[in-house]
Amino acid sequence: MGSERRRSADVVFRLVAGWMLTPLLIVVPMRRLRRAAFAMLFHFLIVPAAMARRVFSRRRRWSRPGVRPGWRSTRLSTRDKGIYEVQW
Amino acid sequence: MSKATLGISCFYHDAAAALVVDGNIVAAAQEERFTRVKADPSFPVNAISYCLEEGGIEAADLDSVVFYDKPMLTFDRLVGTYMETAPRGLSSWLEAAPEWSARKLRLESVIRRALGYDGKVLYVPHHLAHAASAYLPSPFDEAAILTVDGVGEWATATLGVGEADEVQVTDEMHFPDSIGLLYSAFTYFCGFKVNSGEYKLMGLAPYGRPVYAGVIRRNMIRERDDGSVELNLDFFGYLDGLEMITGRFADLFGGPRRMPEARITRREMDIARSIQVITEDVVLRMARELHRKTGLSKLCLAGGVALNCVANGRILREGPFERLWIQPAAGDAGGALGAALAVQFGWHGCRRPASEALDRQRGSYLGPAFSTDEVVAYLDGLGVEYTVLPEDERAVTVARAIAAGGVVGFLSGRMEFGPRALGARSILGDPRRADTQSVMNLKIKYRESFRPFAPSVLAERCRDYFDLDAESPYMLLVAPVREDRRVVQDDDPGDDLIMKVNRKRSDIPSVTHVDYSARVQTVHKETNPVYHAVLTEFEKMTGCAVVVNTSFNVRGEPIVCTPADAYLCFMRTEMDYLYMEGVWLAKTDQPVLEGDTDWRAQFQLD
Repeated sequence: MGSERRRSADVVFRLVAGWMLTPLLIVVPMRRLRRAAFAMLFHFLIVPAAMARRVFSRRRRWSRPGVRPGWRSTRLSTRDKGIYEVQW
Repeated sequence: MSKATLGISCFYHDAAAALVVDGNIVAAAQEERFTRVKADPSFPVNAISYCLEEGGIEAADLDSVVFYDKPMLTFDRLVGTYMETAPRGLSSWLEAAPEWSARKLRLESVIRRALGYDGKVLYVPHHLAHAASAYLPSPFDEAAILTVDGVGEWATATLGVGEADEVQVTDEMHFPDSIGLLYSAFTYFCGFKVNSGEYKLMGLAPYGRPVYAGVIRRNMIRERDDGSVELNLDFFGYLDGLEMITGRFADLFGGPRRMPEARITRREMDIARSIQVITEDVVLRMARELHRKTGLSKLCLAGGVALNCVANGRILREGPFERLWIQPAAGDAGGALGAALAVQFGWHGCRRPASEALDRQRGSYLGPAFSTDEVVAYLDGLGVEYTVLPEDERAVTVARAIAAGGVVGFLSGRMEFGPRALGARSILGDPRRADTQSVMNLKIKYRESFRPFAPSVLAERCRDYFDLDAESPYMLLVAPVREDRRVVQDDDPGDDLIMKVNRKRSDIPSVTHVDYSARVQTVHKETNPVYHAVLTEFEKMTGCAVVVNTSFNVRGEPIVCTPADAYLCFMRTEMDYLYMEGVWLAKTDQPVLEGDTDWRAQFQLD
């Protein structure tokens, strides 16, 4: 359960970070400026966040995006109506 | 009350739309066929228009529109990957981020605006859509389901079960461990295009020996008995870069990758064979694991890797399953169909009929058709010479031309859904002639000479030519040519690819690959009576129930859709005849095509 909770928090964090992209399109209309803005977002948000995660995580070296290899159980069914209305 | 669902796949590669009404597939088409851009990923506005027109409905009449992927989960993978690889990955981020913020994260408004639709917009997980596309149109009431592709959201392969009208996914393998991406990395290294050149690598494999399999297994991939794999990410650049591979990859194979269009050497042939063998072994182990878990006797397959018909043939011959059904649009295009079917049976509660002898894909002839009058009106507009054949002379005329050594462009009935031409938009030739392969490759398709052609065979005569105990209506199974038809070669032509290609290997040499295999299409009277009649007449004339069938296009061009596309392709190549819905054109009667641009400038080589 602990790992499930962490993963959920992870998802929320990443999605919040993702939604920060959208205003960039509105406020930065020019292509070059927009590219610079996305680059700044990468340098000032993603890179520090990644570094912080590495410092505070027990896994110091991240060679793969947080998943263990092999089959993992899941329960996805076309009868589960709950899956259809959400984008995640 | 009737329920209509529109399925959409787009924004990654090979956009498509599919319309399903009350559980029945009404129409499905890929956007590339309309825009003439190969594997066009853009929003499939043309394919949607066609589907709605075919169904005789407006967007406002739809009960649901469904997308074949969960965009937030895919975005989660993207950001999660950058979080692992930063500060590397900036260039890849700058490529991807604007597209995400502009369209992929605003999917619902993109769909509503494009369609003028204000009803339900739903989402189906990527691999569940693949699984649904594999099982729900199949002729089975219960089956195990295996999906394998590059990546969809986090999953790269799944195991599942289909029963009655429900599809379940029970196990997933996650990114970055992906047999599909591994195969694509080798496709790139051998000088072919990722996401479209994989079948070329598969075609090249029989020319080589698996001498690199050990090197790959020792360095790049850890294979487990349950079919799961673990990749050594030191060799792959797809996590944080714009290239599939890293420098270490090239070091392992003694030099840089082959550049596109460069000469193919022994190294590429051996690499192709090695990765093909590994892929087959992995997929076979996945199938065995699935059988161990489910105990079922039937298997349904989808996902891009399910287009690897050599692996499919091995599952059929060596795997534990008795019967196999593969979604003909196994790649992302088929996701649109799978998503629509999942919603019809899972959300709207439609009932799936009990199993029938035929599947529910209807031969995959789900695209637009054109009447003889429409063809005639088009040709009259051009002012060119043609003959409208009486109904009873159509099949005979086509068969006679093929038997005389002619190459015929063939447009008949509804266009195929999926990457294979199945006798609706095909180029046909005589398989008995040894030179057909090189003539069709070099003068008509303008593609690499090593690539083999596929045979279409009358379903009832299949066993007379091939060691295949199953139907293969979608050209997704490779089977050996019967031993008594082979011409055994004792001498070794060495590394010369052209010499190898031109050797006569059987009494149907143009469709017999160097390893005596063939990618078989069985032609059934029930699903394509016109094409079946052509084969029947050809057999009466020649004693041979097989013709060469290749897609109606030139290299880099999407398969033709309309009579206009077909006529243009016919005129740009050295095809001898064109048949379009009973209308017959001979190249010798045609005027020079004026004002035409070089097709190489129009279509990017794949």
